[in-house]
Amino acid sequence: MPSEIITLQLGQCGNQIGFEFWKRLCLEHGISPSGVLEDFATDGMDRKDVFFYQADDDHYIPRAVLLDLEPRVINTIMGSAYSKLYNPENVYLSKHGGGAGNNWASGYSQGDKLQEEVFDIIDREADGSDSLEGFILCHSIAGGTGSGMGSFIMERLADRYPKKLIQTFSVFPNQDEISDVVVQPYNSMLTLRRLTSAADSVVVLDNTALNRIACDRLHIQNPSFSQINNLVSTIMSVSTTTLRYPSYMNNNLIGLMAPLIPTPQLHFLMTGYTPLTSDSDVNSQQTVNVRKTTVLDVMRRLLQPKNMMVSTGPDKTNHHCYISILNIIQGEVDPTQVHKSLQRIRDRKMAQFIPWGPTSIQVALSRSSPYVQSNHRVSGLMLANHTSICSLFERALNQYDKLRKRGAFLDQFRREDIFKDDLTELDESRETVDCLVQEYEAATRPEYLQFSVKRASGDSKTDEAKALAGGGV
Amino acid sequence: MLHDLLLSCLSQSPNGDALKDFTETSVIESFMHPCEKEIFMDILQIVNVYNEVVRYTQGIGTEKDDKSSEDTVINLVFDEPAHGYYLINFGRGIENALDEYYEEVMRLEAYCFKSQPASLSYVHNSLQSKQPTLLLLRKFIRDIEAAKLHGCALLSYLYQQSDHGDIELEIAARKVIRPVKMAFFSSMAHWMLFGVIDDVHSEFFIKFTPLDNNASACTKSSNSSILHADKNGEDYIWQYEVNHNQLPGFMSSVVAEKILFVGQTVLVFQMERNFQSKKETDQLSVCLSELSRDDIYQLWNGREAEYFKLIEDLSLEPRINPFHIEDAVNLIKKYVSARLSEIAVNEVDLERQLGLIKDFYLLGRGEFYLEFLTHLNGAFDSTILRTTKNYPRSFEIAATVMGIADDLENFTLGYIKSNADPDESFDFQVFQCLHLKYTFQWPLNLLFSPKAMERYNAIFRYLLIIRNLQFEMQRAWAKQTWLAKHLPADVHIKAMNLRNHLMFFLNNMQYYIQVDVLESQFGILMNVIQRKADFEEIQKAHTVFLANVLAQCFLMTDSKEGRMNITGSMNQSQNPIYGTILKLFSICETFTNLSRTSETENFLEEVDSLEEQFGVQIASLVQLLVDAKTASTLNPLSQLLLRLDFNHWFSRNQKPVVLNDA
Repeated sequence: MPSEIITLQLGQCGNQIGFEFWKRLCLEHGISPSGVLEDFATDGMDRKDVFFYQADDDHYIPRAVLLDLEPRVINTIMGSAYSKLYNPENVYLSKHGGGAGNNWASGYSQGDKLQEEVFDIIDREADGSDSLEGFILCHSIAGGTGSGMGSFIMERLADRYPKKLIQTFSVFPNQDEISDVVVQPYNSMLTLRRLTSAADSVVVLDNTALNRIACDRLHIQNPSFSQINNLVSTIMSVSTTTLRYPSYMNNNLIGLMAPLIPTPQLHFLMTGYTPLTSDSDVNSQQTVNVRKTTVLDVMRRLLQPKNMMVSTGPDKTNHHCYISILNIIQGEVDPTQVHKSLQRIRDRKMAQFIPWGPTSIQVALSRSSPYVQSNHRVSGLMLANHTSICSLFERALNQYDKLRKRGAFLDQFRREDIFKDDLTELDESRETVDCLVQEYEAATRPEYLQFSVKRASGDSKTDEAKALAGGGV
Repeated sequence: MLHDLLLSCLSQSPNGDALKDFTETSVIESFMHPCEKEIFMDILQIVNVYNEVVRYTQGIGTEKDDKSSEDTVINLVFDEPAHGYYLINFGRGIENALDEYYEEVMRLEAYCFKSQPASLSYVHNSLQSKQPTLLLLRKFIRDIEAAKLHGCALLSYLYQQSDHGDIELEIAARKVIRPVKMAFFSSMAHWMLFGVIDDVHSEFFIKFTPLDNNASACTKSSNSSILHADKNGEDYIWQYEVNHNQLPGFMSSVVAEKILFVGQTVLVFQMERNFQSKKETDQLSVCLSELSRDDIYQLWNGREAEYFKLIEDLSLEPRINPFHIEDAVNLIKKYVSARLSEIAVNEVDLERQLGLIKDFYLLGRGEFYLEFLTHLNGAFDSTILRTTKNYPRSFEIAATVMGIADDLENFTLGYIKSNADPDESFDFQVFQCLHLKYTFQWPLNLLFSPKAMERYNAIFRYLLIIRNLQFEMQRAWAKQTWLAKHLPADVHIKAMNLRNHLMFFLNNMQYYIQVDVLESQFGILMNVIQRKADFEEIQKAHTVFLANVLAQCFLMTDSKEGRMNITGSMNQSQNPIYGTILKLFSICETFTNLSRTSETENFLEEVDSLEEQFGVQIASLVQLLVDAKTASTLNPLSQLLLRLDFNHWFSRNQKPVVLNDA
């Protein structure tokens, strides 16, 4: 089977969202928690083999690698009904089980120490696929394992599999509540550097926005992890439907990413999903009639900031714009409606686009699973490359600067190898991220291409970046 | 003297010898009273007309005899359309019409025997009453000879003449037309009920034109070379056509098409038998198929007698009534096509077949073609470029890999040999020669005519070219992304920018075709089928579907001139939009070839020149689309324009782009 994708789940958050993702995939493909194909799903048209491989006639095993430095989440998974789903050889728990202590540096160096064992698993998994297309990495950028070990593994993957794509689903920390991880700004900064340099595409899942959506849109007072993760798994599964079901376009990861990412640096994507319903909604209103949402409704709502899974903050100067948009629409869609919706959106100027190149809203009509009942006639996911995502990075920079100015909590970083001599790693990360913010800002202007020329032509890339960083603060 | 005259009235000697005797000798002077001479000459004139008519009918009769006895060589030499089944019947009809005249002469003869004082004027009087009929008959004959009418055209002529104000003449005309009419309805019944045309003189309005006779000369369909490539015995139903020269005036071409359709359906039913007995080789099944020989029964369900009666009734009607014919034809057609769509939908699962068509001809299964292209071009990380490409083999392997070999068992990919050997280095040209063959299930023959299949193939090649370019463009993207990660100094922003533009163009072309054109048109077609329409409606909807798709993909040229050409020099196809799109494709191909080997020294210059070309071509495309949009409110054009120019980039930023290039 072509274009296989290996999923790596790292750390507490990564394993949790990964777990939800696999639950969802099993449901959509008619695979039981123990990996057996359900009777009703035997003649499906879907492409299970992209994410699963077949152990025997009716056993499907996820191409997933579960990694963590502390046993809590993985033990929960292995204690659930889905324990038999995973290949036990693909579940890796560090022996001491002490975790990374929410310390990026600790995660990073542990990744270094454990790399042989970890890459044994990944290599075996890669060998087992006919034409591996890439990796999907689930992690959070704030903690220790997902961010630190994730960063290390990303760098190694990029070296070891230079021509495979690396996509990440990266959870950004919630800004509305005080985090129990004090060094979170350091962790984020260090991880962002790797996301910029090693990953090919990053789907940003902003906990701030996810919580806000859960409160405002789903009317849940105190959203639980599982409710948030449910949102995340929806996004992850829908964004891969064109890979998992036969369709005429976007059949592989590269087909999904290439139209969205015009220049290599601008690869942070935000997502939106509509219509949203929580689990409780579905349960309480079993008899709810299928709502008559139309394509235009869906496409219009997807452009509203309140449906975005990234909290970008108010755009005061109103200069941010879309670099590219891909809408994945599922359900009963009248194809002629797509054109009308596009026309309407353009006429009403509902979306602002970059001034330096051609772009449009690409609409992929995708099949949805026949085994999962939806109470909406049409639903849609938007994958968008929008310049306002840099406000997220700016926020991270601000927090980092505050902490760094005070020199707070640096001791625990100095203890690890990478910071033994000095803290240049932190400074370089800051520069990289600042440079990224500059690039996104530049992308809002017509002269963006000249900006890129400057950046690309200059051999002294870091000098340039420094100069820009100096000017930017 | 009177007896002589009456005798000569019946004389059928071909040269009119009997009359000559009267005129050449001085017999008139010596036996006639001068005042009777005038009357006598009048009678002779009438007899003359009769003679002419009779000579004609005899001529037909003798010619028929000649034909059977004489050499075929002579037959070929004198093979004018002067004879034929209809003409013979015409002759018969005339003879019938002459009956009255004979009766009159007989009566006169008897009268002469009985009563002595028979006067010449009495004879003249009674013969004169028959003169109009004879004149009418002569007119028929002269007109038909002059216009060399035969076959259905003759019937059509007679039909036009048969409405006569004079009752007597009308009766005569009907007498003439009856045998011809009989012949016509009997060949119609043969065609509609049994699919048989026994028509050596091409008299019927449906004709069979075998393609083999003129293999080199192009027949009506310009793609005859392609038809020949995969000719099988099943294509022959498409060689039946309505011959408009022979289409009688009382029959509209719509009715004619319906009659053609019914006959073709019958042929299709017969085909099944042949097909099966050919396929099954073992003795038992041959015996079995022998038993179930009468497949026409499957179609008619024992109702053929009923319909035969219907047509027979038509032929017995004193006059030809176009409305009755139309009613009968409609009745039969309705039954046949309902029966056919019953079989097509229930037994062959037409919806599934069309689904397969969409999946493979229209690239609905993108992931399969992705695998096909991957296999064709080699994996991305392998550094060795695959030099020899075996398209059919890759196609099969991809099917196996994807585990959809079952779905694909009816599809085979092959080449058509074109005049020039395809230059292997340009994928573009190789794709032009690909031909996807679909072995459809009986009785869908009526849907997937060779012409329809050729149209499907045109769309298929078009889509495959876009898909391949897109595939290569994505590899270019991957390479650039990889470079940016590992060797940031080697990234050329210009190349990246051009790649963005090209990829944008390709993606939107594909979205436009797949969503705006194919999905919506296919939806319309499926609606018709799901509505349980009869087969002719399905057939019509299918034709409309193909025509719309071709038109909206700007492919609406016959495949002959539609042959895409990489050089762009052969762009005399009528559709300028299509020509521009081809140029854009060739820019894309050049770019992907370039980016595969970006080590060349003048890489950047070539990128610059390509960018300039792209700027020019896309601007002209947008301009063409805008013009076409304002000229007519043609929907699809504005759809493509909307997608391409969504953020007004190409319409607004035209100048800056050109400046950048300079």
